[in-house]
Amino acid sequence: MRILAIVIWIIAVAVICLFLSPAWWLPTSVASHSNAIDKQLKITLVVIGIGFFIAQVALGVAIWRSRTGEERPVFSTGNWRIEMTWTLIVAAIFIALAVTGQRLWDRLRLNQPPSGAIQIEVTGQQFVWHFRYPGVDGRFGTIDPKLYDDTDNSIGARPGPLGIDPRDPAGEDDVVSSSLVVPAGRPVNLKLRSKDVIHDFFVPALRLKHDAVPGMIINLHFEALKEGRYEIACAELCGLLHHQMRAILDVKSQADYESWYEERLRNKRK
Amino acid sequence: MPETLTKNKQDVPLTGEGGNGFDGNWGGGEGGGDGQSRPERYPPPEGYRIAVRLALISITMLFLALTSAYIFNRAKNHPIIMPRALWVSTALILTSSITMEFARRNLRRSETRFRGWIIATMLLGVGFLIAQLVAWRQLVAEGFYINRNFHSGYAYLFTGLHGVHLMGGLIALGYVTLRASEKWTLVRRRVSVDVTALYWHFLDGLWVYLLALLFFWK
Amino acid sequence: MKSDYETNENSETNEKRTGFRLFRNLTDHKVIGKQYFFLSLTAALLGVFMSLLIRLRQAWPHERWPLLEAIFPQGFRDGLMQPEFYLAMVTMHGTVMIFMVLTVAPQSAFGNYFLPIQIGAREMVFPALNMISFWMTLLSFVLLLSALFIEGGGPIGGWTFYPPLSAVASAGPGQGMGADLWLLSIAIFCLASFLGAVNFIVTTLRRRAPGMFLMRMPLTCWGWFITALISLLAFPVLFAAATLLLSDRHLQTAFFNPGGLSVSGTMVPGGGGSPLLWQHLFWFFGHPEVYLAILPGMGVVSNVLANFARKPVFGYRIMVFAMLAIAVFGFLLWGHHMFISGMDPRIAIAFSLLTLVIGVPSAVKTFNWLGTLWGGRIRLTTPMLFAIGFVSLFISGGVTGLVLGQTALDMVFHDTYFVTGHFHLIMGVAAVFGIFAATYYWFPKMFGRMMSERIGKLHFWLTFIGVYAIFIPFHIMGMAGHPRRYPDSLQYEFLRGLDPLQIVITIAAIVTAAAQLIFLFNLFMGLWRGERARDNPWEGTTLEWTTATPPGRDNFAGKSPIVCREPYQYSVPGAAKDFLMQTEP
Repeated sequence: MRILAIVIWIIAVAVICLFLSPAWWLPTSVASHSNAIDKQLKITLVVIGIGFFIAQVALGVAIWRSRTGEERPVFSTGNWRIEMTWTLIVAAIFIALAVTGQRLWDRLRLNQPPSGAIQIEVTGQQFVWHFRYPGVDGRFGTIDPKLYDDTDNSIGARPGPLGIDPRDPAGEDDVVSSSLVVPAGRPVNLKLRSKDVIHDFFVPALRLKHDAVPGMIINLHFEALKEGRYEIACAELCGLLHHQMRAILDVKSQADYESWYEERLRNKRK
Repeated sequence: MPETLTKNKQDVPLTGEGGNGFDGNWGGGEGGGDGQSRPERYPPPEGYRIAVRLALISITMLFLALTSAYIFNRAKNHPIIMPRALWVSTALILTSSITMEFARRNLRRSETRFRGWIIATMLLGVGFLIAQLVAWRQLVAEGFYINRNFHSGYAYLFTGLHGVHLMGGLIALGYVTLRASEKWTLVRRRVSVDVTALYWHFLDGLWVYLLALLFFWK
Repeated sequence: MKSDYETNENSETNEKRTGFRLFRNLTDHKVIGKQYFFLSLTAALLGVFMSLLIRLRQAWPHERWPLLEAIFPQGFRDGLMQPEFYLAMVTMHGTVMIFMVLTVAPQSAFGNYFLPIQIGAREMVFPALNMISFWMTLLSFVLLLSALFIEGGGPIGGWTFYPPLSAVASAGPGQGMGADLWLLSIAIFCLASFLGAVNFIVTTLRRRAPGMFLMRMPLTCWGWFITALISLLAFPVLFAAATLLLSDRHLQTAFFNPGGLSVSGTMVPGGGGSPLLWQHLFWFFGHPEVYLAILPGMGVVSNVLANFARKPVFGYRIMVFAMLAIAVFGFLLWGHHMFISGMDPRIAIAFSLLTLVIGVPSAVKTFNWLGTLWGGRIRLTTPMLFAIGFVSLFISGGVTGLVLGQTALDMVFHDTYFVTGHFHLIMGVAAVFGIFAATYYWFPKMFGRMMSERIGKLHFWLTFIGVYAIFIPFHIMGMAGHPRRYPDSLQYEFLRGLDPLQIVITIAAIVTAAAQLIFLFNLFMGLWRGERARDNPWEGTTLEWTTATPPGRDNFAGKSPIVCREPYQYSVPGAAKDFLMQTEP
């Protein structure tokens, strides 16, 4: 009997230890909001960790303290006061968690991106990501789905896989890239799109994730703080090669970003 | 008495939970009409009443789900014509509710009248379905196929599902009429007709709602 | 006037003469309950097998499996498991387990068998309808499985089946006929569930024995009753969604099709619709569905804990209200599956608050179970072990709901293994422990024999430790960012460090699955050679322990029980025995 209690306690301790050790389970975080998310996550994990631990320990204690032999159990059908107390405590904690989480959500999804943000269009398709920059004019060329041409993957491809309408002058200087290149320290606004099924744009290092839904253009903004190359994955089952829909987020310094961009624009004109 | 349920000799104190006469006593519960205690091979009368209401709740959820889809897809913004056959079918189904009520109320009084009104209801129901099919053809003739736009798409789906449920109602009506009274007690008969009538009126009301949703809400 | 007994005898003779005995048996709620039980057992074995295939690919993606290739030539090439096979396994594992195991076993199997008995009824109100319900469910199961064997293979869209992936046949292998069979199977399942729900509700409202007030029903009956109410309201919505999707697939409508889709280089006709519509409809059903899966188990756990702690359930009324609250709130939370789906982020806030609110009744129930155990005189029989295991696992699975329910954190964890870990602990383990507890507890009554306690305990220990070993690491992988439904993660450096974990999980899964063979062995040995059971081997107080073992055709041998007491009168002060049955005056 008491073995059960001990096993439950051991499991509780083991789980807590496993969760405590993984400072490195979370990928590095390099976005301006990542720290806030990580902090909220840690607070939540601590709260639930404590709740989890207390509950499992209590379960073990209840078993440990089981009456034996001829001792009569306590005949109790309930206790209103205890019920009220623990209900209120739990409700207060849960609501507090919900409310503190919302401020973060406001920042991520409800606020407009700052006005100087770089606009980049992200288009998912089975099974590759495309990233389009608006070029010197700052405007994206219109897209015509009837013009999709997956065979042409050159830099200056029009219509190309994104179906950029050749008749639209705004699309002449659009730069299409297979990696997402951004400068560090500047706000970026992504416009998520999809050509076929629902995909999900996921950058673990940025703590950023959102569905890319066909028929919708979804804005998602972030600011990357640290230079480096980070992986992008698809996080919504999109078909057979869903697991191979990888891309790279390349965070460069402002100067490097500008020279990359310049070079791309030049190559298109050739 | 034909309508009272015979009580079990080993009476137990009633607790009021049994509802209309079924209070946990078994045996003789249902077959009391002819003086013989019958084993309980059939569900108790008020079981049917609750069951039908539960079914109506489920059907309502189905049509509510489709209504919210209709709204989400903004179907009413797309054009559609209202086929003229729908005036006919609506008149038929409204009338069929009236005949249904007459049938229900005549059950106790006169078997022939009851059968007459039920058959009238069934004919009107069949007429309704035929008119619906004609309406579909009228839609097609105007080019409103199911995939023409959302409005027509939902129109076909809604009317189709309604029609399928109505066919079920027709089968119920036929069953209630054809099962001659010597097999059923009067109580069971009355309850069966009552619940079929309720189902029928519900479908009538549902039809009016669908008509309004599809063709009058701009 | 003839008495009950004479009437029954006459009817028996009549029936023997007219040969309707088979029909009588097939409409007997106890037979139907057993049929559902064995159906879900078969489904569970298949589901576990599929999960092992999933684990094999996750742990050893490069490995060749010639033996498996011999069984599934389409799914393996040169012995390598193909992604389409893996995704079909993922889809079918989810569908089979959620529908055919978690919805069928706790509710349709045990509910059908024991609801009438526990409320003192002789039979369900609509026995013929009940029978039809079972055969429809069986048909649904067969159709579902057949999807795996037709050309093109099984559907690969996950049990969530999001369009446009599931609306366009060319979007992936298995998304043709396989997807249609899946949808058809689900539609039939919806109808069967509706019929079952009607039976449960009418029977509970109308067939309770004298003295069995609603607030004297065992919590198992409340679980089944509330679950039936949820079924009634939720399944029609799934049916509507399936209808719309079938229409999109075959009638060229575009309810879920936004237009401008180019799949495999071909434009898909139509447009104007929204993929989000499916998600709203599906999850409006899908979220209550998971409460459907757990509520009967909660009822069973309450019964078992009280029985073997020799104490009443702590806070019976609150337990009932908590179940009702969970059922009601369960309909208001569906959006928490869609926080980052493209839905308006402001609506997400409302859903998030409601999600955390529903944690309150769940927590209260957990505390009440602890209160039931506290100060009890515990007998650690196998059903009790599983009931306690349920409580432990419910705590573990439940707390991570507080992480996922927060919108901003969901951004990190959506569609990662963190979610998979969460719902497996709750559904795949806790709810299953509820099924195990029910099986061990009621096996003597259902089959008239005892299962082996020693083997049962071995089964418990291996399974309890095994499931923790399997599913806690899932949370770790989720925190590392491992997305769901990946046949492998070989492409990603950020997932490289997780390979050892995958292997650990898989080995634990193989061991735990093997442990279930012990359960099967115990079950079948019990059926054939188990020691004969007494009428009340566990000294329980509820009505099923007053009947013969197994109960006769009409459960109570002709006389309606009279209920005088509440259901959990254990260790009543001043009483001679340490339990008083509900029928004791």
